[in-house]
Amino acid sequence: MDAMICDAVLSVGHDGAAEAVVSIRYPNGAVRAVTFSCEALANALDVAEIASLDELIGRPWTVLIGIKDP
Amino acid sequence: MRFNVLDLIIRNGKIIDGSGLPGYVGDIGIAGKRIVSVGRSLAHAEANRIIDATGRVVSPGFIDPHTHIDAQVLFDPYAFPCIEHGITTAVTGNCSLSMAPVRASQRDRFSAMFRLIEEMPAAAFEQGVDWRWGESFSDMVDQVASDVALNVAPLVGHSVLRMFVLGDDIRRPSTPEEITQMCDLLRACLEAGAVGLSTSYIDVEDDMRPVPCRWSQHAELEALCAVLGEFNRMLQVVHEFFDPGLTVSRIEMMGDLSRRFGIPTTLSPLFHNAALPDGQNMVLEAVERECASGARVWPQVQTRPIDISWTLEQRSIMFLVIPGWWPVLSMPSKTEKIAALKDPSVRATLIGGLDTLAAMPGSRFNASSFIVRDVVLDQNRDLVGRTLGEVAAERGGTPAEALIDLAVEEELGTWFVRSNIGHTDSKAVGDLLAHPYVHIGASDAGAHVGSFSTYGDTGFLFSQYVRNTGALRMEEAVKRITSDPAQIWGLAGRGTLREGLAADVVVFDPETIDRGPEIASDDFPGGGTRWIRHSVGVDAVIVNGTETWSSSEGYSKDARGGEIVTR
Repeated sequence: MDAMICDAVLSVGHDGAAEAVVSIRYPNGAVRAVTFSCEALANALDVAEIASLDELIGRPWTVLIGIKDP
Repeated sequence: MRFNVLDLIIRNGKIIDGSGLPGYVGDIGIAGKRIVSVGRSLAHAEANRIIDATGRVVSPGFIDPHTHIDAQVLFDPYAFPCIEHGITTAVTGNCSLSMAPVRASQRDRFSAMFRLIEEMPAAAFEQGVDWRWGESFSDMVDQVASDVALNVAPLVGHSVLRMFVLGDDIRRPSTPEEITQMCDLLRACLEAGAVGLSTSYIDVEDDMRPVPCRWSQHAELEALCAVLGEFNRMLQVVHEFFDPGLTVSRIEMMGDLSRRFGIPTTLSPLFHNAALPDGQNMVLEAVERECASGARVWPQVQTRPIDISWTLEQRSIMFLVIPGWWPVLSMPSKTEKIAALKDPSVRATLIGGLDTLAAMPGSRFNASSFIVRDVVLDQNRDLVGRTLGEVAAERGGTPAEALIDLAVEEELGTWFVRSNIGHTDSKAVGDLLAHPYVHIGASDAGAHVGSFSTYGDTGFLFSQYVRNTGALRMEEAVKRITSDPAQIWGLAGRGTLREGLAADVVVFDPETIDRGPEIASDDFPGGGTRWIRHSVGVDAVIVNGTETWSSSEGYSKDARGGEIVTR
């Protein structure tokens, strides 16, 4: 079983740019939050055809690196 | 004790001396650059100048441990508007970048890096910095010291050390011989007055590749820390502040360096992120563990909240939470975006998305509170600094319509801002600021000048976290920005009101001290807008005995009381 995205929320960085904090639940139950800048996330969102942060929830973590959800 | 005529008496103020002890009413006497009397009545003493501080607090000058005024202070001796906020000493050279040592052949590369990381306008840097000191750190510090109104404690940047020794072939590990050369160069900088070394684990050059210090191996940093240990000087680190797990690892690394080489270390910035609610505790627990084992690791926490800035030209993650906006802003060309924004059905969807978000329970996402940050067209210049609610009221329509219309009118070049979005939880931030192992700082003064104001954090500390929430007592707050930073950074003779110490003094009204509203300023060379805040409730600022700013007279012409405090 893949690690899955369990939460995604808007945040703000030190320099005033909006960021996304995405939480990933691993198969062993551990949850880890990862922060993404727009530059880091935008292309992956395009590949996955995602238009809102809520749409990330429930998808496998690989969506975040531009691998289309099977 | 009787005095000859003093230079300055500050009479009948509440003396909060920086120690954290309760304040008391008394007089301060200053002769030359030194404090010569603290507390006792000077009612019968004579002085060239007397300040009546009745009802005011008299404290040591504030110390800002994280600034980027390096370039500014070379063309603006006052580092406007730092001093009016009570800042009498500023640490420069943060984040691996200092103005020296930089070879003449590397100035363009360094300038591009500095301007990118500190968000300084190119014209201001190019017109303001003439490199007249040459290349060496010592000569640069001499240049600053010759014409400066506030005290400077300069860090030397790891990236510039590397550039100086490795030349243009910088994106590789250094050789043992090069490490030895860097150590010798760092030693020379410390002997010339450097307060420590700054390094970064996140910053990039303008081609988005890591800054020079990030290409080093850990052995290089260890060797440099050994040199810092010879001088008991600071290592400043820009850590992976967006990731609590990586931050904990970085704190453990810094603790190890601190213990092994006997040096103080500081990391910045650390701020509260509501999206990472456990992060703050993880980080503070790591700091506590390191300190318990004998390390000196000081996380710097800023006082001010964080804003979000954006245009409609580039995608911003903010639009991923507004229904309907991301697909429009993802269109491949500006022409298509503008056409869509003009399309009545698309406009209705976008406006509806904003309205839906604003109507959600507890929502703080309201277009009427968005502020116009910068404009393209001169005819719209009067809109800068105003809310979209105000613009809509003047132009007709709703704030959401004003947002779209203004952006379209300016071909998407308009900058907008949502204020107070991050680091706003007053309980969480207050707990952070009051934590005994936290170093209040990370103002970034002089950086990000085109995006938001990095001035006035000390006033905000008093207004928000002393008066409004009571997270700190007045005496504690003063201590945290005066004697604490002086101790942490080894700034001998600063940070306390005591006879014989440097006469860095602030007189302020404890009931009103604050930061003023954010306003546009065009004072930098080369034109363009930057964002500043004036002070509120500060009466007078004295730097090494020189009255440098007062609320009645403003900046004292030709006041040049500043020194390099580590010389």
